[in-house]
Amino acid sequence: MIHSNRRVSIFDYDWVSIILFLILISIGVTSIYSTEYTNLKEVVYNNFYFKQIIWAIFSLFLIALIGFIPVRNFKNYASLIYLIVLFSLVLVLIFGAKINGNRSWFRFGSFGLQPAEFMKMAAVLGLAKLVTDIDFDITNIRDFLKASLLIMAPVILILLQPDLGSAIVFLALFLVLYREGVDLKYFLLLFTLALLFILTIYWGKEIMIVILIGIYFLINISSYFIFKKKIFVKSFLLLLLFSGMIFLTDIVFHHVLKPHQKNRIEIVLGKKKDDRGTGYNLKQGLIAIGSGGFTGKGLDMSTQTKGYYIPAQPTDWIFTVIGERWGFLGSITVVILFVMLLIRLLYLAERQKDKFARVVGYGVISIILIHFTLNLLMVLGLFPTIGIPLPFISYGGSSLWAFTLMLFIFLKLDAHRKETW
Amino acid sequence: MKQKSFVIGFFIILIGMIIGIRLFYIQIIDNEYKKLSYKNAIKKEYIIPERGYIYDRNGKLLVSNLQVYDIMGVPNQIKSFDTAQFIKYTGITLEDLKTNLSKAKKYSWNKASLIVPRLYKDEIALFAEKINEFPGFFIQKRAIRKYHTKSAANVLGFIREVNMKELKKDSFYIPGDLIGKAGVEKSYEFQLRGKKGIRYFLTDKFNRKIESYKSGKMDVAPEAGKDLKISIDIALQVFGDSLMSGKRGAIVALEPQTGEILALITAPTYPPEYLSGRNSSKNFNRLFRDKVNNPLLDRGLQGAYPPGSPFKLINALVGMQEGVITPQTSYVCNHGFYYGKKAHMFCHCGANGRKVHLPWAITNSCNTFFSKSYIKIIEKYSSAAEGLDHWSKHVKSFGLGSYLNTDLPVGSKGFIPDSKFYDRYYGKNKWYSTFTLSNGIGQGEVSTTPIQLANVMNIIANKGSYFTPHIIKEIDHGKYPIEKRLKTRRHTSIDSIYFDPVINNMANVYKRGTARYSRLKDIELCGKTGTSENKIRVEGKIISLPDHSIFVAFGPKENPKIAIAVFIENGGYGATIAAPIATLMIEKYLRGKITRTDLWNNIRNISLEDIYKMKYNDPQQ
Repeated sequence: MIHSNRRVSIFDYDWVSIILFLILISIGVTSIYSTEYTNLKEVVYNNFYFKQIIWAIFSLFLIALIGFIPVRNFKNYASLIYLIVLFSLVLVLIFGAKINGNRSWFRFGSFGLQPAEFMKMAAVLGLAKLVTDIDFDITNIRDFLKASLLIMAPVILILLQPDLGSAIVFLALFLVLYREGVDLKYFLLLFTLALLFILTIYWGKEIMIVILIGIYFLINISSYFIFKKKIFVKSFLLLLLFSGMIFLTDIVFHHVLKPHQKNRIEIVLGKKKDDRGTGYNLKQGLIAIGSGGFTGKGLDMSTQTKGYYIPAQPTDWIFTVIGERWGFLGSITVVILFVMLLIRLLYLAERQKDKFARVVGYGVISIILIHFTLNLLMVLGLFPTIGIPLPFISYGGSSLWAFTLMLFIFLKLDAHRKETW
Repeated sequence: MKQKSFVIGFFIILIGMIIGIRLFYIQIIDNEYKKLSYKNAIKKEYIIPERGYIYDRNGKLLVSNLQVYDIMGVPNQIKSFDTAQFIKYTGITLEDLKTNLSKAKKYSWNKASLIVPRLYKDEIALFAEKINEFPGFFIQKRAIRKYHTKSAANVLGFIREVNMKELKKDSFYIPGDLIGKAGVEKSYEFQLRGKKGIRYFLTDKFNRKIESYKSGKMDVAPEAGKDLKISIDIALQVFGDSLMSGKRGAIVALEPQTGEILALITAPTYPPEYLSGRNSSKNFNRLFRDKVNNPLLDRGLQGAYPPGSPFKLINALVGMQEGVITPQTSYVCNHGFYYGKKAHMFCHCGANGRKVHLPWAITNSCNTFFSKSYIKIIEKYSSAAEGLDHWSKHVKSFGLGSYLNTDLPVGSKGFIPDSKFYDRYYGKNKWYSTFTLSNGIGQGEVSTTPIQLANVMNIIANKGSYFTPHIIKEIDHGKYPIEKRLKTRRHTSIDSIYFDPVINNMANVYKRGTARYSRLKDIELCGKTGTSENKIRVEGKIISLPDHSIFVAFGPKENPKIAIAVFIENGGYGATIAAPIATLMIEKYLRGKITRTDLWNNIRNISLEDIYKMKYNDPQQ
């Protein structure tokens, strides 16, 4: 391998992304402070905002550490990193501390680590390594399945914890496969299956099967008489697949999902009204955001936040603080900052000559995108309540470090894009 | 492959836009969340203003307020505590504590409920010191009425918690508020209650106060209730109570020049503090259920009885006004009067077959004279119906037969018949003047309340006019006007010239008539005795009970200062009990003291309880 002699300086890092990153972290610390300022603890490091500042400072060390690691090591050790972290997911199921019925944390005294958070980065690296393999052809069904397996392995392990929110995140990596050449029709197929899932829950399997068979005959008769084409066999295969999905949904919904998970889905679908139980968070969160108005209520008048109406506010529901305190202006600013960061990363990913770097870039984009999307849709009542933090803003060390690692590994690859390695 | 990055870029922006639109909708278009947030977090708290004081006509304080302390508890904040200590500090029984705690839990886990009610300052001191040992409990101040008199409960009334009906009627009240339920407390509730203040608080999801909302900028300061001066002379009222011991009935004293109620005594009664303080609910139930003594009935305002002989005065006036009699008119009275076959009205005026003139008739209460006068009034017109309606109209102009509309919340119409009443009873044109003869002597269908009779005395003292009797004298030391209707002079349909003969002969009642044993030295009084028959039905048989004793009077004769009606249930002949009571009351008011203490003691010691026991010993009890 040829190494360029040019030393990479700090100015080769993408400063637009770094500034956006810093702004988001500052917004995060400020928002966390807002949730607790009326009830600050005497010992300063017992406060969430202070801890978050410590995590943020520590993440600067992580960034420096990434800076010192030779860039080629990320690619060389990608598979190893993937396997080690995947193994830690197995270990956490055995040795993890049980918190709120989930086994997702390693506890070291008062300090905890969540391996699922680091799995996100590991999966991105592993996938990039797999896709850049010289023999790998994404359009080949066997290689596609290989990639899918790589994505699904952590999903299954995390579902065993069980942590639905963290597991769902990995599905975003299929976006990378789309970019790398998988046909859109497969995604349309996935989308149709997702739609079937929702509609089956909504209407029940019997009605869905009747509708499906109806559509099957309608399409076949029309195509036979109008287009003079016979598509009986092909469409029958689809019919079988879709019917299978309907029955699977029925089984999953009624026998696999826990009652509280079923509740959440039904509440978002509007099948159930429940302001006291699962719907309570959602309702109080919506009240906080909705009452923010255009300019927000300000720190002192944020009554929902001050009255502790929203549980888990510093973590998954942090956006409710932003909505209430800074109103539409503040909320839309945060949304725009995220969109800017994602578009910037998209631009950076596309300028990579190296396929590995590009795949890592898309991996980082898809992971941040799905967090951002699902967290906000959840908070705004458009998606069932699942535990997904808002990147860089939600309180939590593991999550902050994982996102920082992810972002800066890619920024490092980008800084070194002119080298061949 | 590059164009796929545009698809992804578009997808990212699309998600941003969906989120942006949703934000725009819930934050700017939809107002519902703002309301919900307000409802969630901002709680109102009312500051109850101090209720107005009540003074008597001479400025003596009758009712003020007393700070008492309720111990409240919030169930979800109550931790296990030492009940033995709690009982020791508060004096509550274990049983009451248990029931109150379980009631509180049933009502709400987050909201405060009453655990120990109405402790006085010295009773709460120990608990207040140790309150830290009992998390979840707090002390709430509350004002109750403090009474500086043991009398006039019927006038002052009482306050109790508002009921659902009152809550619906007036949005001023919230559950737990106190409202005047009787007497002055009820009729002047609006003046006494003042205006509530409002404090706004931020609360958290456990309904705990965090801080005042907008640093109290929106708070409203309370406005204290207005003080009232009522027309009662409390010394006279207390004196009246002493006279009524052992008796049932009422004394109503009015001031003729103004219509102010000087005393309004009902017996049996209860001390006003009985319905304040810790046991008020128990006591109220006890009073309410006592249908034998009926202490909650204000007999002065509500008791409608046949007026008896005092009613003859009205008939004399109506007769003169109608021109059917003059002061010189005379009839022969021979122990009574036959007005039909076997129909005889007995008379014990003592005329014994001589001619009777108006002076004799009034002084000695001659039934014959007034029966004949009454028949003349009715028969002046072509039909009995027309005659009776004329008579009825005159009588009603004295404020009889309908509510006087005093400014006290209760009253009774009494009854003055008109032709329609007899038409219904006998059939149209099927009755004659003699059918209604007992109206002439105040028996039979007519009934009046003691305050109506006192008002009749007012009218005679004023020679034909009166002010509606009322209890209010000043509102907030004269800063607010008294209702105009109470200050408007009302006129009867009798010309004032006809009053002099009646007044002169009422003075003779004291000089040589039925009340001569009660007369006062140096002060010339006018009065009229009455004895109202009274029969009850016991096990289907009609039993005659001792008559009701009635006396009406005013004095002094020149420039009258007090008009009075006394009604003693089963007191017998009017002159024996009612007349001395009325005279003692007048003397007490005019002189401020009693010269004939022996009479006072005699009257005080008369007890009619034995008769009442007989009366209520019927199987219904």
